[in-house]
Amino acid sequence: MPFGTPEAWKNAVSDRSVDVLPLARDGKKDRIPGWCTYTHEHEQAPELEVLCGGINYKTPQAGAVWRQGHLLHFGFDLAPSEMSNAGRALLVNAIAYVSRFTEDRPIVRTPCVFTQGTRIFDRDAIARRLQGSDEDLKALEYYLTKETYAKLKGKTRAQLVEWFKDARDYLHAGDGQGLLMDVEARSFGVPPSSPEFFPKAIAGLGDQGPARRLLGRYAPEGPGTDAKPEQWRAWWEENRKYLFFSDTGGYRWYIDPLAKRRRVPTSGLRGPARATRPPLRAVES
Amino acid sequence: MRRWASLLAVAAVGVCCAKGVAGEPVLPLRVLYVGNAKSPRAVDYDAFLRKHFKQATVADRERFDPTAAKGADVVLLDWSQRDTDLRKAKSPFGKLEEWSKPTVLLGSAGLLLAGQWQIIGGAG
Repeated sequence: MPFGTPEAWKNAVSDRSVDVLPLARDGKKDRIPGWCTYTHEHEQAPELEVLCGGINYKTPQAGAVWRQGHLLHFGFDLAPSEMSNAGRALLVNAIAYVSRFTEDRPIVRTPCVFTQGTRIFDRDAIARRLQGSDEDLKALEYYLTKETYAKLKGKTRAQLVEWFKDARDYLHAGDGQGLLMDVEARSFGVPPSSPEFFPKAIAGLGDQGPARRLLGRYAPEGPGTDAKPEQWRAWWEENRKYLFFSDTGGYRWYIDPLAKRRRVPTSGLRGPARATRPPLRAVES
Repeated sequence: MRRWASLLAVAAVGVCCAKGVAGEPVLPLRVLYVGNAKSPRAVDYDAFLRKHFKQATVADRERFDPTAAKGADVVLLDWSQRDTDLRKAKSPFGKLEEWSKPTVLLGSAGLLLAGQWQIIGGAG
């Protein structure tokens, strides 16, 4: 059924209404809202799967029912008696679905701003702001370190776009106080999140340059900054198919343990493929 | 996202067609609901889960011992920001590394756990 487009969505959705599947028995009743998550910021995580969104006061991109590993978030905050048939069926299906994920686990770890006082944004959060309104440009202050933002303040949108084109591949989270350019990575000349990073950095371990520090910074699961080049090479050969980079997970490479255990490249192990058990069949009670 | 919503809607029709006759089909899962055990909402969830799953149990979140989940296939955590200050929340399941049960996080339970476990779900 059509539902009036929330005000907060109107920059992204031009239609006056959006089609929804009602999950509440009485849609007009006032109730405490549930919880939606900015899942679109974490799309690099292989163990993340978004099943549906929902009406919220933030963004149409937020996830309402989604999974990270063996944890399935059902953000609609209703008791079953408040749910429509569709709502109850969605909940039953969600329970049945997550029951299959006995091995998958959350891999990406990211701080919660409410409890850790900091939040790590994906670098394309800046790209999204650059495509937005003038108010969005002012909000760049919250994504960048004070020093980085101070250098950009007053620049035009076109100048900011040019800066971002140059800086994007070398942004990182530093100590968690905002995004900044990794000057060492920039001078090394290989984006840390690129597939070329490991071969080039490992090849550079014999030099006095920053390769060793970059490997330690961006691959904390590796053999360590004191390891010999052959140790890094062996680690890379062993793990290359199972590595993925996460911005919100700390601007670093992770090993996908499920992919490694199953000997399946992490790039091909997404969604239901990460389940362990087969789909359920109902039985007579 | 629209495709998933459509698939779930179709599945919804399938599940809801099983009407109340003797031997009504249930899913072969043992489900544990963890929430405010004496609340009307827990009673509501208990009745609902018993209708759809082979076994349903209710446990109180405040005094929950993670070992009590041993016999469950899926755990539902019902935990609202109205119950607990996010900054003072303590995971009823202990550490993430020690929690292996497939889990459904209802409402803002995901936010409260994300704050403790530093997983996705802490911003929305």
